Amino acid sequence: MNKKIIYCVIILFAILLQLSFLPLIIGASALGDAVLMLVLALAVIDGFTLSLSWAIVAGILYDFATYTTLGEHVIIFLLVAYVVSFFSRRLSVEVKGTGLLLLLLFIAVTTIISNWLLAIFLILGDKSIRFHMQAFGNFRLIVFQVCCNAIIFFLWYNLIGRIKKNIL
Amino acid sequence: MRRLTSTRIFKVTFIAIFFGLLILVNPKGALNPVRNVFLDVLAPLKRITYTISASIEGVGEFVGSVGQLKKENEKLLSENQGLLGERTMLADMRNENDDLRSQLELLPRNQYKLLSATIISQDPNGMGNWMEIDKGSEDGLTEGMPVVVSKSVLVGRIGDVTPRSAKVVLLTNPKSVVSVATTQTGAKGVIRGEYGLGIIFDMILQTDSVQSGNEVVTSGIGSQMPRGLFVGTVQDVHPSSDHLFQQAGVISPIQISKLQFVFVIIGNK
Repeated sequence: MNKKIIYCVIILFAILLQLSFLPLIIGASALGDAVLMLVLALAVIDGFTLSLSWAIVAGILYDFATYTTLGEHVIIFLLVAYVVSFFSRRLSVEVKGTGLLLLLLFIAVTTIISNWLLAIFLILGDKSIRFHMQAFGNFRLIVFQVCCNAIIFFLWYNLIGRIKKNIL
Repeated sequence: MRRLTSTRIFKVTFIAIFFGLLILVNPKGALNPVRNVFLDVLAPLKRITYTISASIEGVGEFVGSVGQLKKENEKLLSENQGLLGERTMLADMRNENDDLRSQLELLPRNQYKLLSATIISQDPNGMGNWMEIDKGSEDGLTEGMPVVVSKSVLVGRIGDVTPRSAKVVLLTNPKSVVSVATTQTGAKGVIRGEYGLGIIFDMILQTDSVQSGNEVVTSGIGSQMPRGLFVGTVQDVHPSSDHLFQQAGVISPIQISKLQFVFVIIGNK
């Protein structure tokens, strides 16, 4: 019960951070994704079975908060949780040595997957592909997003690690 | 069968199909009450977070710009002198305009009922498509109302409305289409957004004259958008891809990510 409340608060905090804090601090043109990185951190720490339900909860709440069609972020977070758990079961994932490189790879891959899925949803909604390739396919923007996401991920990773160690 | 349903790939596929169908069916109206409750709960927290981040951002910007202040001050002084002269000329033109308007029995311009609102969140994808304000249907907001800053610079229009918050569809959103005209030449057309990449002034007739530096204002044709709201300045002009019309890039004077307050035009005085 305690864990459920704490995780719900963390998800709400991530949504607030993403909608009302990062756009002003980092700038509107290239943002990191605090909610995506939270789901990634949960998937790395808790594994697929435990993180699946939290990925769905985070997706539903994020869709509500961003006025998007219910399901868009759920699918993105679900795929992230699955892909990460698929590889982390087979490879050693930790914040040192080659594990760190693997984590950075996860961050880059999830950022790109998220961008492309969002672009697909927008293309389906607008019936136009013209602007999405410029906006989501920009290499410099993606590199900046991956860097921002890496910082956000390690903040979440440490925070959840500490909470699990000291409170849960 | 039980073994299959307990596999990860089955669970992921099943949930993905379920939510995929939900996206296709898109029962937006059916889920609105739940969404509204959630947004109402989140709105005060968003406002606090946005205010805190705006203060942090303001301090950072001030520290970074100390060196430029002297140069900017000199530039502003010279601009101020030029504007003083222009102001005198405009006051004379306003008197003349008022006389003509009263003779033609036209309604006064810029006499709008404004409702101030605080921005509480922005598009999280960095596309500059929308922002959220802390006023909603309980304050009299309805879909389509124009949103401005500095009383007459157009930012966008109201989109989805909940009882205590509303989504503002910005001019940079491709779904936002507004009828406009240039003040200098009267060339008419529509502006539409390009996902945070800018604003395009489109459907300008080949026979109309548009030049870089021309000011673009709303033409007041159709919808709830009043005439004369400033949109931006023409940057470059080029033919459309089918060569039937002209297109122009428009630069807005406002930086959306720096805004904290906006005004919604809820009617005329």
